[in-house]
Amino acid sequence: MIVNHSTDTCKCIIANQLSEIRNIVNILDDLAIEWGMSKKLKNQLNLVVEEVVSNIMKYAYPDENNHLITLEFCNEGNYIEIKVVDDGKTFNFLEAKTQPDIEASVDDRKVGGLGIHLINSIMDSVDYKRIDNKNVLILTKNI
Amino acid sequence: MEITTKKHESCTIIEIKGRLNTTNFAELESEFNKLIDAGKRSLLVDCSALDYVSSSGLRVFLVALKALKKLNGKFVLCNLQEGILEVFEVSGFITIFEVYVTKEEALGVF
Repeated sequence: MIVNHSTDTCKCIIANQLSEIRNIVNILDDLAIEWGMSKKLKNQLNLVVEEVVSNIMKYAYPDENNHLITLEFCNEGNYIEIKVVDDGKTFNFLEAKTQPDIEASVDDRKVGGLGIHLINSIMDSVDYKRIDNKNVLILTKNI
Repeated sequence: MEITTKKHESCTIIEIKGRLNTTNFAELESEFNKLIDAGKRSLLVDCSALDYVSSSGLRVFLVALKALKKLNGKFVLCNLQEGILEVFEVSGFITIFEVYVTKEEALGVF
């Protein structure tokens, strides 16, 4: 992980390896202290970033090559913005059709498909763009 | 994450400590499978020391619940921290799982 950190922003570049999840936890621990985030907010952001990044690692790269994923956290005062950029195959987050039936009974409840639902439920806004062959996901959470 | 399994007179108690996420969910999945394969049909998961769960962990809970339901068993959770409870509510898990505030209450259902 490469980190470029200033007062209100933190840019991290991670490899497409699940072991980087541990480094994201550490970064958010540091940001929570610096930006005065509650434990609840920190865990919510951690959950969202884990879901986004693990989806990219599992589904975005059909090849076996190394890829880099960029994460940018920005403290805008009344909200936190998280921008995630990857060079994987196109995945328009806004068109993802993985809404689970959260009212289904145990027998009917499908296993999986919860990650995107959690992201949409926790964050206040989710925006997606495809720029220069890259997926750019911008998430915000009001504070 | 640490998983501790304890025998109780009416069920098996599984204590999970730390963070359950996409890097370690398979450890818990294998523990549940091992217990079910060994004939255990009453599992109580004590989440008092579980600090964090992501969708990979939720999936493991759901798979275990489905498996035990088919076998007429019981899969019960207790002591969920506020953040975990929120994830259970958002995902609708709160309505399909038996969740108790205290371990004593949960032990009462076996």
